[in-house]
Amino acid sequence: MINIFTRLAQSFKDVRANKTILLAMIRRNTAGRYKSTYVGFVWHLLLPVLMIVVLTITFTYIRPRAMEDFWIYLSAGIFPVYFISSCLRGRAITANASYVTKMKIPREIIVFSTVITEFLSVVFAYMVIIIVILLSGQYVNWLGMAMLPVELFLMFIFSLGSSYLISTITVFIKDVGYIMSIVMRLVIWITPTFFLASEAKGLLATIVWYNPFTYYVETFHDILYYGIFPHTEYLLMSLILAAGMFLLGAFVFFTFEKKFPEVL
Amino acid sequence: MENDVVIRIRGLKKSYTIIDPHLNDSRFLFKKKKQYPIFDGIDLDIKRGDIVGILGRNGCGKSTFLKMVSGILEPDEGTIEVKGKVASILELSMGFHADLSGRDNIILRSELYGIPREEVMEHLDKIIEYTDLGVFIDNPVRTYSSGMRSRLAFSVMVNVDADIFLIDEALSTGDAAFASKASEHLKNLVRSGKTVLFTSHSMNTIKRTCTRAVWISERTIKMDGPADEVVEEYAHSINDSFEETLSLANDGSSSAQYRIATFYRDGVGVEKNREEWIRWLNEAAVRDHPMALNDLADIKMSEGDTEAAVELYQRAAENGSYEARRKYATLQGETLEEISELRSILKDLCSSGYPYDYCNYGELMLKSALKEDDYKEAIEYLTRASEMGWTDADLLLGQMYRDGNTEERNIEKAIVYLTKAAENGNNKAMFMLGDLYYDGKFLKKNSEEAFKWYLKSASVGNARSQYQVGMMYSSGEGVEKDEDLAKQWFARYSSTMVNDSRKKAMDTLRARKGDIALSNDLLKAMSRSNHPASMTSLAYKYETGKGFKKSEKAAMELLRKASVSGGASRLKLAELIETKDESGTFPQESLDLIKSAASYGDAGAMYKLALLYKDGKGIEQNMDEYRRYMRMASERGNKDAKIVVKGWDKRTERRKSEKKGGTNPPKKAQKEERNES
Repeated sequence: MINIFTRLAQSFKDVRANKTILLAMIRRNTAGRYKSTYVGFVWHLLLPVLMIVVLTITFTYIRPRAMEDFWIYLSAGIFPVYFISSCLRGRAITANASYVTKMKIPREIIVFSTVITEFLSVVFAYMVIIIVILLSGQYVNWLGMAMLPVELFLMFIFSLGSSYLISTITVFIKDVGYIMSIVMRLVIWITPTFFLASEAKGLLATIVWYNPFTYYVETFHDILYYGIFPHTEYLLMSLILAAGMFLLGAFVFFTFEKKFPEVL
Repeated sequence: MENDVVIRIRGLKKSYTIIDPHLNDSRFLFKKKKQYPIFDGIDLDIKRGDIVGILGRNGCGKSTFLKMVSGILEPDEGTIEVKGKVASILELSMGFHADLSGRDNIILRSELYGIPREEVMEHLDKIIEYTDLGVFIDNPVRTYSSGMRSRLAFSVMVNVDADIFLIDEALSTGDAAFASKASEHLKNLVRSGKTVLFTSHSMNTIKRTCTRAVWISERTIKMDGPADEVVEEYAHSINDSFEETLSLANDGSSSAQYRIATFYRDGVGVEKNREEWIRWLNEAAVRDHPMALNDLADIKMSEGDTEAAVELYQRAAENGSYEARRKYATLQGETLEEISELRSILKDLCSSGYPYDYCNYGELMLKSALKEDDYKEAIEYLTRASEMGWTDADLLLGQMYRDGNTEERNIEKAIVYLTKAAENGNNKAMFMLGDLYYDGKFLKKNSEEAFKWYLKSASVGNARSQYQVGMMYSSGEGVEKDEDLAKQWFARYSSTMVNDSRKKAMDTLRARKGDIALSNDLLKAMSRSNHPASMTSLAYKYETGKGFKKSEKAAMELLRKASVSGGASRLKLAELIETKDESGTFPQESLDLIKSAASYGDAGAMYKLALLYKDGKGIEQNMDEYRRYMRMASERGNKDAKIVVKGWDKRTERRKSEKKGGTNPPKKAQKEERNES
C-alpha cells in the first residue's frame, strides 16, 4: 500500500524536474495538430468561434428556444463537458504506449500532458465567449467572474484524477476504453447543456444531480449565463468531487504504474 | 560501490506473465496465464568507459535487460545500482511527429530527452549538419525513408548529455557510412568517460565497436569478456551448438536440419544415431537441401537401391550439387564401365612413380568416387603426389579435408595442405585460405591471416581477392584502415574484371597485323592490373626488345611480380637471373625458382631441373632425379624432353630385343601411345 501523500509530493517534484519534457509533450500534442493546414495555430481559436456560431444558428433559427441568449448557456456548458468526457475516455496511457515502454520519464507526465492539452481548448473557448459577452454588453458579475479560474482549476483536478483512474484501468482491461466512450455519450445527454437543470422532469430530474458533471456545468452557467455568484453548494460539491476523484485516481495510478511497461 | 563501477547488478531475477492456451485451469473470459522467467539471477559489474555490446538470440531478454538498467522495468528480485545520469534510447524512431519537419522534430525530441529549449537551439546547426540530410531537414518527417529517420534520431542522441547510454539496436539501420560515423561517436563518448551499453544483432558491429560483450542466453549471462572473444564464441555456438541448431531445424531450416543430421552421423554434441541421421536427412531432403539429397542417395547406393539413388542424385543435381551431378551422369550414362576402364589405365600409369600420375589418378578417384573406399584410395594417391611436392595434389587434398566429404572434416590438415599449395603460388589455394580464415566458420576467425592470403592472391591478379582486400582496407578489418589503398584495390578489381575483354581485343588486334602498338598498350594495361600471363609476356618483350625499348630491369621487375603466381614466369625469372649472374656458379635463387616452378607443374622448369641434375650445376649430381624430371617433363609435353625420353626408350627396346627373353613392359608402350596422341 503506497502512501499517497508522500507519493504525490514526490510526483510533484518529478514533474517539476522534468518540466522540459512536459512542455515538449504538450507541444507535441498541440503543435502537430494543425501543422499541415494553411492557418495552423489559428484553428485553436477559430474552432470554438465556429462552434458557437453553429450552436447559435441552430438554436435561434432552426430549433428556436424561448430563452434569451441561449448560445451563452449552451457554450458555457458544452466545452467543459467535452473536456471532461475526453479525459474520461482513458486513452492517455494506451495511446502513448511507446513513451511508457521506451523512455524513463515520470509516467504521470504522459497523463498530465494529455489533460493539459484538452484543457487548453476549454480555455481558448472561454476566452472567446468572454470576449463576445463583453463586446455585446451583457451584464457581468465581476465577483462571480473571479470564481471562474477557481472553478476551472477544480474541474481540471477532477478530470486529471479521473484520467488517472480510467487510463490505469484501460491499460489492464482494454475493453474499458470502449465502454467509457459509450458511457460518455450518455453522460453528455444527462448533463444540463441543452436543457435547464430546473426544467428536467421525471427520471432525469433525479439522476441529473447524481451526475458529477452537473455541478461544474451549473457553476459555469451561474457565472457566465445568469451572471451571479455561483451557488455555494455547487462550489462545495465541485471541491469535494475534485479532491476525492484526484486522490482515488492518483492512488490507483501510482499503485499500478510500475506494471505498465510489462502489460503494454 | 567501487570507484569505477557505474552499474552494479546483483541477483537479478525477472519473469513475465505470458499467455499459454495449453494450461489446464479454464476460467471464463480470462486468458490462461503463467509466469515465464527471463532472468534467473544475474550478477554484472560495468565499469566507466566500457562500450558493452549485448548479444543473444531473439527473445533472450536483451531489451528487457536494458529496460531494467534504465529503470523502466523493475526487477522481481535483486538489485540494480546505477551511478550517474542514464539516457535510454531504446527505440530510435520513437516519438517522431510525422507532420513536423526534421528540424522541428529535432527540437521536440531533444526536449523529450530533457534538454532545455535554449540549449537545443544553441546546438541545432551542429545536429542538423550531423544528420547529413541537406534540404530534407525542412520537409515533414513522413516523407523520410526509414534510413533517414534513424539518421535523424541518432543525431539527436549525439547531443544528449548523460553518463550512461543505453541503446537498443542503434546501429542496425542507416547506410554503412552513417553506421561507421555512429560507431565512431560511441567510441568518442567512451573516451570522454561515458559508458555505453547497446544491443545489436550484427556481430561485426559489436566486434568493431565494443570493448566488452555480454552474451545472454538461457536466463543468465553465458559469457562476458572482450568483445571479439565473446562474439567468436557466440558465432561458434550458432554454428555448432546442437541445441541451437536443433531449434532452428525444428523451425524448418533445411541447412540446420542437414547439420543436425551430420551431428548424429559424427556424434557431435549428441550420441551417434543412424536412424536419427537418416530421419534428419529425409527432413532436409524434403526441403530440397542438395547435400542432404546427395547423402541420402549415397546411402541408397550403398544399400544397393540404385534406382532410388539415381532419382535422389538427380534432385540433388537440380538443386545445385556438383558432386551429385557427376554421380548422376556417371550412373545414368552407363559410363561406369568406361570409368572403371579409365581408372585401371591411370592406376597402371602410377607404377611409373611420378607425382603427376599419382595426382591424376587421385583426382579421377576423387571425382568419380561412389564408395568410401574410393575416397580413401584418392587420398592415398594424392598424399603420395603431395609428398613428392606436387602442388595440384596439395590443393585437392586441402579441399577434401576442408569439405570433409570422406571422413570427418579436418581443418588443421586442410590448412596444412592449402598453405603448402598457396606457398607454391597456387592462387586458388590462396583465396581458399583467405576464405577459411575470414569466415571463421570452421576455425577461429583470424582477419589478419585472412588478409595476408587475400592480399597474396590479389596481387597475383585474382579479382575476387582484390575486391576482398579492398573491402578489408575500407572497413579496417584485419589491417589498418586505409581508404586510399582500398580505392586502389577496388580500381584493380575493376580493371581485372575487364581484362577478359582486353585479352580478346588483344588477340584480335594481333591477328590484324599493323595494330601492334595498340595491342602492346593493351598488354601493358593488363600487366598493370597484375594479370600474371600478361606480365610474363610483357617481360619477354622487354627482355628481347621486341616492339619495346630493351630493358632487362623492367623485365626482371615484371617477372618478380608475376612469379608469385608460380609457373612459367618463375622459370623465366630464373633464366634471367642466371644470365645476369657473373659469379660463374649457378645462383641459388634461380635454382629455388626452378624447383618451385617444377613442383607447380611447369614442364619447361622440369626439363631445366633435369638438366641441372644431370650436370650437377648448382646442385648435387643425381642421375635418378635427372631421369625422373626428364620423364615428367616429357609427360607434360616439353618437346626437348620428349626427344630425350624417346631416345631412352628406343635404347631400352633395342637392348631388350637383343636380350630377347625380356618381357617388354606394356605400361611403357601405353605411355608412348598417349604421348603421341
